[in-house]
Amino acid sequence: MIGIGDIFNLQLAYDVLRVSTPLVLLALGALITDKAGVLNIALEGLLVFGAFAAVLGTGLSGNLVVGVLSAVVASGLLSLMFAASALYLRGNLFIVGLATNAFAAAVTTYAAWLISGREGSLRFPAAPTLPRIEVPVVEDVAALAWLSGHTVIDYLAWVTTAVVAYLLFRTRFGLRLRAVGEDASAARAAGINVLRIQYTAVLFSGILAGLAGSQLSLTLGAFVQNMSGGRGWIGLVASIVGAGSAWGSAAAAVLFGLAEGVANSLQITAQRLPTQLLFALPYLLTLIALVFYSASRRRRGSVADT
Amino acid sequence: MSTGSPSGPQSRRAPVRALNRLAEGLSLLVTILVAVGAGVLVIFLTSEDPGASLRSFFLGPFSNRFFFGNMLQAAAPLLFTGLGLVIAFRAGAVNLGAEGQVYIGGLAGSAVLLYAPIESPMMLVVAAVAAAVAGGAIAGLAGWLRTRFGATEVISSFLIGAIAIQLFDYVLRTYLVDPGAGFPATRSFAPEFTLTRLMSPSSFNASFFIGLGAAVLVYLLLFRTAFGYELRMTGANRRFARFAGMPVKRLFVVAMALSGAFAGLAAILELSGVHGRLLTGFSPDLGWNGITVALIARLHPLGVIPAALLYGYLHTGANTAGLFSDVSPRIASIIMSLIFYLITAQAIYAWIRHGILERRRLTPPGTTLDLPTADRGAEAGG
Repeated sequence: MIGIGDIFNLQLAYDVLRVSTPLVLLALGALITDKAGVLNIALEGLLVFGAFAAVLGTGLSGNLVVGVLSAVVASGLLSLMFAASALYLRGNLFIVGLATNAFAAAVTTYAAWLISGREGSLRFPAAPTLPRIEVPVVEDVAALAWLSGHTVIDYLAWVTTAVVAYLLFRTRFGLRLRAVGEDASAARAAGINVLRIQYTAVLFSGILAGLAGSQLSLTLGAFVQNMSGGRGWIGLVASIVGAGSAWGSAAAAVLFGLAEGVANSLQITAQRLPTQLLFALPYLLTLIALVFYSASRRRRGSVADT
Repeated sequence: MSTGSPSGPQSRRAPVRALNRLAEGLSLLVTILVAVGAGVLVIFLTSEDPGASLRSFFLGPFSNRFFFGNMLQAAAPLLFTGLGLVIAFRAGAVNLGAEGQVYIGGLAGSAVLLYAPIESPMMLVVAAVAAAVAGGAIAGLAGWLRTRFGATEVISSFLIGAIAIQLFDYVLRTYLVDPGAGFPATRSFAPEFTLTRLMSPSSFNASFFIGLGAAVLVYLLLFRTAFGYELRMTGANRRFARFAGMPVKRLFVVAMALSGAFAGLAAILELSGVHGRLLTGFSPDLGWNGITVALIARLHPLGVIPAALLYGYLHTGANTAGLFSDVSPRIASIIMSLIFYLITAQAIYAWIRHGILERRRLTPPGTTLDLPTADRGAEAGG
């Protein structure tokens, strides 16, 4: 028999914070692009690209900073390819987003095969993994210890949330970006360079997805095919459910992170529970959140009928 | 048929329409050439003997019965997923869960075949119905969540599909698995439940011809029935369709369900025609590639046939290149993803239509794909 305390404890709090990091970063990226009027279906692919480049960069250089930078550059470039296909070549937004996901999956698998001879994964045994940073004082307080021992990207995610909140709602750039998303033609008439704002927003989401990918693959020390596990989609929903605010999106991301954390700890404590159903849990929670949020918005009348 | 006035304008419009068509065909050609060209470039950069690799890539599918039959067979399930997505897209429904619909349909159909009380080929029909109902149900659910609660089917269909894939894997490994198989797979279906190989030793079977028939049926449904007209109107101009009294919500859900049903059919025909049992990971991205096939077909049911064959050719070419040279079969995925990137690009069409075929801007690009975009909700108000 498993007690509730076996699952909901401080270890879970630590795990939730850790697994929430990529979701928070992706939700923030989705929020920025959404505010600029671009629904970002490509996050999944951007995440995969970043995770791969992080392992490759770290493995070839032996340096984590180079690895993270490679991820940011790779995901950033792919995000520009996504943006250019939609904005310059005028492709359908959903389709070029899916194309980005398909492209990232195909290219990383092919490259992993070229480099290591194996299709499914890439690992450099000698490469370092992201170190855990112990926060002095905090780590010694029992009730707060779960806040300590995370990687630099975990902490950065929360700094980024504050930065995005400030950027979107307290700066001229944020105002313009939101104007573009509200009404692109009005923004254009007001003299705003709509395309530049949209490219910038997508690039920003690419950079954040690169960081998210680094956190995924550099804590594990390897790139594994399908390691993105739908996080791009979950982050996208988090930004929708977050009701347009950076802290709201991050909070929603943590909620989905909680589902993942609970699934992980159930997998360890209750081994008879099927792993597949645990894997499905975050998707299910995301779906329920999406439906509830949409229904409540519709009731308030802020969304047009079908 | 022309909708213009009978005399003057029609004669002047006809060549314009011909030019539009030509430009559309050329932009498709450019898209495919660019994507295949990129694949050739990758082979050139990574292969020790690019000449031999390219030869087996391009000529391999025609080198013998085995590869030729497999090429046709690779196209067969994509006829079904592609047709399903044509129906969904035509109704303005973005079904991104076809992959999950394939798996859940395969699960339902296989369960029927494994527990069938009688070993008669008639049970295959029952299995096909079960597969279509299962795939249609989870796709229809995504459509209903949109019409009932306003939750966008773009995301919900993906999430439901992802849950369905986990559910498939769970049921397969827990209840249906044959421990003697050595990997997650069921025992073989009874011989009565497998489709006859028509071009041995390849896996080519009747499912290809059933797919051709289905393409004709979907064409008749969409373009020769009132239901098809209403369905297309729902996608082309939802507001007009609603004001004209069409049941747009029901049409939307039905279109989603139909596309899921086709995904389920793809699964059961693939399983009974090729594998002869249910197994883990049996779909080579049938759902995702079905989207590309539908778009290459320009959302035309009959266009799905050459589009699926193109995929079968690239897929089999990559496989022969993987067997006979130092190229990974994955090269096909790269080429398909690049086609995916460019296939909806209106700029390519506009460039060919107005930049090359005619330097004057006569008509707005009217033959582009009219898929719903992110701001659909705002425009559909009222």
